Amino acid sequence: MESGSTTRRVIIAGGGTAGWMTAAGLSHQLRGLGLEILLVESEQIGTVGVGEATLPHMRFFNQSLGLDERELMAFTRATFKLGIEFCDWGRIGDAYIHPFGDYGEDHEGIAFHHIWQHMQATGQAGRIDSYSLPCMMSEAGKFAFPSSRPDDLLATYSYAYQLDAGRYAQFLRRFSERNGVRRIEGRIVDVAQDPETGFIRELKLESGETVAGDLFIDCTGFRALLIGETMGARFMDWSDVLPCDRAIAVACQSTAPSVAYTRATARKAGWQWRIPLQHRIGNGHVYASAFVSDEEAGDILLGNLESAPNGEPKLLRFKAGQRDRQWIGNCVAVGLSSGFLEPLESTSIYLIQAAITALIEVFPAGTVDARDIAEFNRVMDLEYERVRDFLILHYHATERDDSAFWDYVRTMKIPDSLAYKMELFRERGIVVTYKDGLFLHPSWVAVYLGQRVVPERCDPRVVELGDEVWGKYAALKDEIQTRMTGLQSHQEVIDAYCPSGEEA
Amino acid sequence: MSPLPASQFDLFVVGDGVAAWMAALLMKRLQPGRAIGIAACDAAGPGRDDPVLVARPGFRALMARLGISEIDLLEQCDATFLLGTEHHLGGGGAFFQGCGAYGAPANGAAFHHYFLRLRTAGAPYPYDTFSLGAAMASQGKFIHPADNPRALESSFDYGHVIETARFRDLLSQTALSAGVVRTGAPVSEAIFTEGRIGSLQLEDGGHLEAGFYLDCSGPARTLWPDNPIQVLGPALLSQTARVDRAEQGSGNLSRALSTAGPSGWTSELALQSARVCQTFELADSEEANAHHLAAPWAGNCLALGRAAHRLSPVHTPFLALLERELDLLSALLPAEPGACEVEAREYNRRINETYARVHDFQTLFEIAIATRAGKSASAPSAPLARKLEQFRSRGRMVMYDEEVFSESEWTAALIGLGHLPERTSPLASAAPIAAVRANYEKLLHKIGQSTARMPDQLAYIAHMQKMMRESGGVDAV
Repeated sequence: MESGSTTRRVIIAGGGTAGWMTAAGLSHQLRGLGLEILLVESEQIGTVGVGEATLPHMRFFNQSLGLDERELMAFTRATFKLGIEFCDWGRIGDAYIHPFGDYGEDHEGIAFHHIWQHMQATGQAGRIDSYSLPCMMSEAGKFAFPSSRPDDLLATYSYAYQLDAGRYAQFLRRFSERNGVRRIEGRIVDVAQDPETGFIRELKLESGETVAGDLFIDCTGFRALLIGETMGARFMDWSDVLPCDRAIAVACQSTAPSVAYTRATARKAGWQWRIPLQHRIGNGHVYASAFVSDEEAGDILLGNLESAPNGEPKLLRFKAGQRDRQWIGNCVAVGLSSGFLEPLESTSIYLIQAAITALIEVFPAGTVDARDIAEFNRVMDLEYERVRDFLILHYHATERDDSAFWDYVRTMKIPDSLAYKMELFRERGIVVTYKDGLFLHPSWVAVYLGQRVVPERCDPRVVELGDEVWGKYAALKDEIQTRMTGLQSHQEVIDAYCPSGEEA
Repeated sequence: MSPLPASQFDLFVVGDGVAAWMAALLMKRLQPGRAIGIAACDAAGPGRDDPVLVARPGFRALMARLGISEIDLLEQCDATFLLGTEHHLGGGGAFFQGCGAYGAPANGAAFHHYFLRLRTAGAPYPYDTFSLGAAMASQGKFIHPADNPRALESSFDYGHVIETARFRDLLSQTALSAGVVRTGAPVSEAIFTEGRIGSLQLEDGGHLEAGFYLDCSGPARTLWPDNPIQVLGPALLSQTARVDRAEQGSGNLSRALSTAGPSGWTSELALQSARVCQTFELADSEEANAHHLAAPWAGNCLALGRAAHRLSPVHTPFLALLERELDLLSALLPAEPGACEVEAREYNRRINETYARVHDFQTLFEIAIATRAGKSASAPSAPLARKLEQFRSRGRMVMYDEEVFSESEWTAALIGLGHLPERTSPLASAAPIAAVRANYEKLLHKIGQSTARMPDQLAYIAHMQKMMRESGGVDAV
């Protein structure tokens, strides 16, 4: 069951967000084990560094490290994020926000979206967004910290960050080095394996130096130098259901006060992001190269910026999918080396965090144990599969037929697991949720309804609800509006709480 | 003779036990405007239920939906508060399995990792000494849990032990008062039309029709006897139990006792007025296989309770499963009885997972009992095998969708039954053992102080009833 030597020396191959998050997590959480942690990275190799939008889970990762939020946000020039606005996805002209929080509240076991649908049919409802405080705050450019009192309206949502991922990695590097992590500058040119076990023994650097270790974390990005090239993990290609394979990214200057949400606008053969940081707007166009040329994709991006670009656009190539095993022998993949799911729902940093959390929970403090490897791979497979389904939903749930790309994604064969979920919602408004799913009930409702997947049948009890119930929901909508008027703008909160000192 | 005119219902329940009346009442509460009918059938009846029922913590929310208060249960069903089960394994081994917390997590690691460190370092404390619920149960104490989540007194939870016949009477009276209609003649069979139930034939020659049917007729499955079953695996313990009833006296009401014998085990459950002992013996016949209907919801008919499953009596899961069945039905109420295929598919997917996870928990105990009796134990299911492997390997608890028993119960059971992890979480290794020991010894002291201040359960119940009579409300003791 066990093999290899006792884990004393951990080698992280590659820096960037994945490398330094791993270094920070291991050096802090496993400080009692007396590990020696080395991170090998080369300044010659750039990092992808476009993962600027995050999910609320990241706050808990930072809290577990004891990081100061104000300091972190100022250093990374971060803004708050209450959700994502999707424009032109269901139909051109449509827009909805996927909030990090609830819509309305359930009534005696009847899910709110059933009640809302009935109210809408009888002309009493208005938009479902008007029953969500984070949606309304986002639209109004406001922000408030959530309340810890469960009965408070301000306790119905969470928040994440929009930040400079490169500077986040720098912040964590400082943190990790204070914890004793040693950084080695160098380019990895070869990997030596034990001829009997196949375990990685050492990394050979361009300088001639060798770096030996007991456990190797592959944070080498898309190249997957250790887990793929060395250990032979196969890449499972999901581009038949997630056909976007390129992104062009460029920043521009902010021309307006920052808002607390990311925008994802559907384009002819993909979509464009807009992520407001304190000092700039991050922009990018994710697209399927089979349906649009790089040149045209670049023109689409540049033609839809709100101000002049800060520099030359950067082209990224990728393929959606995951490694069939993310831990083999004494090698664990974290970040892009383990797989890639496009940034539509800001899951890249989340998947890094999930891998670090799972690794820490089954960390081979003694020797590597096959049972730990199996559990890590099971957990990560589940994470990837469930994120994948949620991403595919955005493309497949559309009425758009204005381009070959949208025709393809609208009619493509989707995984059975997602087909089942969509059928249940479409026919009866049932949201299939699982204990270990990343996206919870409100997230699925947001995308379904936002993209015109409307249930044919509702909970039969809604037709029997009385006026007092409808009055309750009217009052909730009013209360949200009333609370909104007293809130500060997002920009005011940023200026008071965590100004970066950088010129906008 | 021409048939009697058909009676029309929106939903009709067949059965006369706890499952039938609870289902009928809940459906009436959920949809007061609908016509809900109920009738017995020859095969079903209150006598087929267990003499006492065990309710888990989630049962309280279901009772609230039914409009039945805790004081009703105490006064009309001889009910008691149950904090957990004390298992005696023979040879002096014993452990407590409760719903509440054991110890407290620290630095992201569950308490049992610290417990294992303490154990390795020679600390003499059994796992359950770190549970307030266990301390209360061992002394027969009870209060309601505190609302303040930071208070030690919020760290336990409770269920109930309920006298079945009286509970069934309470449910039927409440259901009839709420407008459920009981027909006079028992149901003899269902008449099918194109794969769905079209009407029910009554024993007096009459018949009735409904949009949807609930089969609560027990193992006879009167409405759909040919509905195929799915076998979960051997259930070594025979359902044929000997039941002894003894006067309660002033015994401990707060715990259940489960005592392993040479070829089975005895469970003892406390009502206010009596103690009920049931003895279960090992059985090897195929009859003892645990199973459930492959599709408990088929067409316009849903089987509930023992019409849907036959699991081992270990941990008396009947009421816990009924609670889950009714929760799922409530969430998936058929909008149109003629077109509810997706609701049925989702119900069957989730409830079948639930049956499998309960069977896993029972298998854990049955393996221990069979091993003790020198019999070959059934192989665990793949999910249970993974759970056992991960826990034994490093104390990692794998929890699945649709679990009924909580993570703390699984942990207590695994440790109690001797499945001790080979390694602990690295997250639990940061603090020095002396600090860990001092921290948890402080907790033990608090548990001792808190328990000493609490009343015996009988006194607590008497106080509740007095408060109820005097002021129409109940204050904490």
